[in-house]
Amino acid sequence: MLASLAALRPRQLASQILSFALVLSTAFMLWKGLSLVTNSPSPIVVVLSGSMEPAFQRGDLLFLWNRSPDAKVGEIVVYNVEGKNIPIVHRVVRNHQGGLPYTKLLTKGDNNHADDVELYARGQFYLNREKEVIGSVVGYIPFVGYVTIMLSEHPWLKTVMLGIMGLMVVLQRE
Amino acid sequence: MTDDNKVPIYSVPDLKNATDDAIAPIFTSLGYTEDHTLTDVRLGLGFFGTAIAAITFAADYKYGFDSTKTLVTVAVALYFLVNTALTVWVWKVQGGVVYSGHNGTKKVKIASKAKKYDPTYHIEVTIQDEKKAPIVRKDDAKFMAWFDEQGHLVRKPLEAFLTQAL
Amino acid sequence: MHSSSTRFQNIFSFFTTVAFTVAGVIALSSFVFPTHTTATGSIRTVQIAPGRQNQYGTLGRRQEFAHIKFDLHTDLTPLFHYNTKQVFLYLTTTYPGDSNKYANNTVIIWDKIVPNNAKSKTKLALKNQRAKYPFNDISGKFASGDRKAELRLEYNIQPHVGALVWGTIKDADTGSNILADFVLEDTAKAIKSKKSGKAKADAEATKARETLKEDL
Repeated sequence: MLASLAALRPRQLASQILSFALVLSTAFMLWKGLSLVTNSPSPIVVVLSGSMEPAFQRGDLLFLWNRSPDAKVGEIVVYNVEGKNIPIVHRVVRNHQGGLPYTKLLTKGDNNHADDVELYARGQFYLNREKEVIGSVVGYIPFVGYVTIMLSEHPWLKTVMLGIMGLMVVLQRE
Repeated sequence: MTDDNKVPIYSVPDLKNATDDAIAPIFTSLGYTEDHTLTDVRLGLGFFGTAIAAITFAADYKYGFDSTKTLVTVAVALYFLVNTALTVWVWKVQGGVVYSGHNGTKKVKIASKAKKYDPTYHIEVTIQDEKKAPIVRKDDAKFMAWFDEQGHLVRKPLEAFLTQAL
Repeated sequence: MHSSSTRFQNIFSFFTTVAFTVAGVIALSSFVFPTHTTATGSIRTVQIAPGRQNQYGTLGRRQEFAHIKFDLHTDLTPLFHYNTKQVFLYLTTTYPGDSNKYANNTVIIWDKIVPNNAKSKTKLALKNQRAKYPFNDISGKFASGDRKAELRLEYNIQPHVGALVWGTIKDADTGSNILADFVLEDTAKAIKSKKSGKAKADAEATKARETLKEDL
């Protein structure tokens, strides 16, 4: 296979590389575009835990919207506690807003008995909507995200997948 | 793919691609010099787009989502503009042309087409003699005229087909 | 090998396209179903008692907690259609706070998950039900002046696929979003004071609040 690649004339080889690069670039730019439209750094997230069952299961794909400065009780938000890098998907159970610039929220997983205070930083009893919430769930597709869970739990799969994709695009002609 | 490779004879796209690739060496042997402008513009636009994406990726990775919002908006808009330009270029300007070359006084352009599941190779040859108006000739032939049963491309029949089309 | 891999690719992409189209149609179809229903609700008792929040096993400062008991009648059947996976039903209390801090406060005092299967009861008739979540104000105590509060019944329909839908169930009699208006005051004390006269009641209420203020 590599021999046939080497036998290509330079422009043809460049063409094949370009095809592969364009697929990756377009996917990335579409993701960035969606990020900008929803105003969320991560507009699509995969559910990693079972704390929101039976509504969401591990592997479900969630679509976020982050252009609303408020987050009403009952909404499901995705947040990162400042300092920690694990996104958590839970429901807003309390909302306090008023003269101060930031809306304060208390969250809780449907499947948890207690609210999220033990997940926040020490001394922090409420979330800051603007600083810690990266979006509110507006829609969802079940199961589809399970692939990403497998990829993150078995990192060698990522390399295998990229390799197969690369091979397929390069060895084919449009 | 070089002439040594076997081409699956039941796949019309593969037959077409192999034939397209074979044209350039034939014309070179007939004394023509290939003209790479069409391909070069396509590659240039394409890699420019890829560069935009790469820069966006680097900026986003290093500086995070919030501080790069304006840059990324501009980059995304620019990327899709470049991609549209690229698509227009490939579709309209390049439009199926698989070979473009000249021979001192003559300029030759060959555009090829093959319909799905139909093993006929259609070509449209545009010949332009200096200062004269361009002449367009269409011709077609079955792929099996220059492919043997195992899928090897046999040069002579293809060469003959091309020269008589000129 | 070429043709079998091409065939596999074609089948796979065809399957994916079909699956996504079907999912899209199902998701869009949810919007066609009317989800109109009503409810009646009222507050039975309110109890304001001191309590503490805890975090990581350590108890925090003393705060005012409101414990509520309520009645609720509603029929959720119109919310269930073929794309409903579950309904998350919740009762909220909205109350004002001190105007220069957090003026608008909403808390969920009770919730229920109603899955879409034959066994779940979609008609609710709750009497003197204790609210699951006693709540404290973010500032530690409820506002000194106006302690008016509103009770609302809201829902979130979780689909099998598609967009999540939120809504408020209107009152069966008034058609308003608010099921009941009440006050975040000890109902027991309020009843007692009605019996012994208004002036004495005000004094008692103020005294109770001041005791709590000292504690906090």
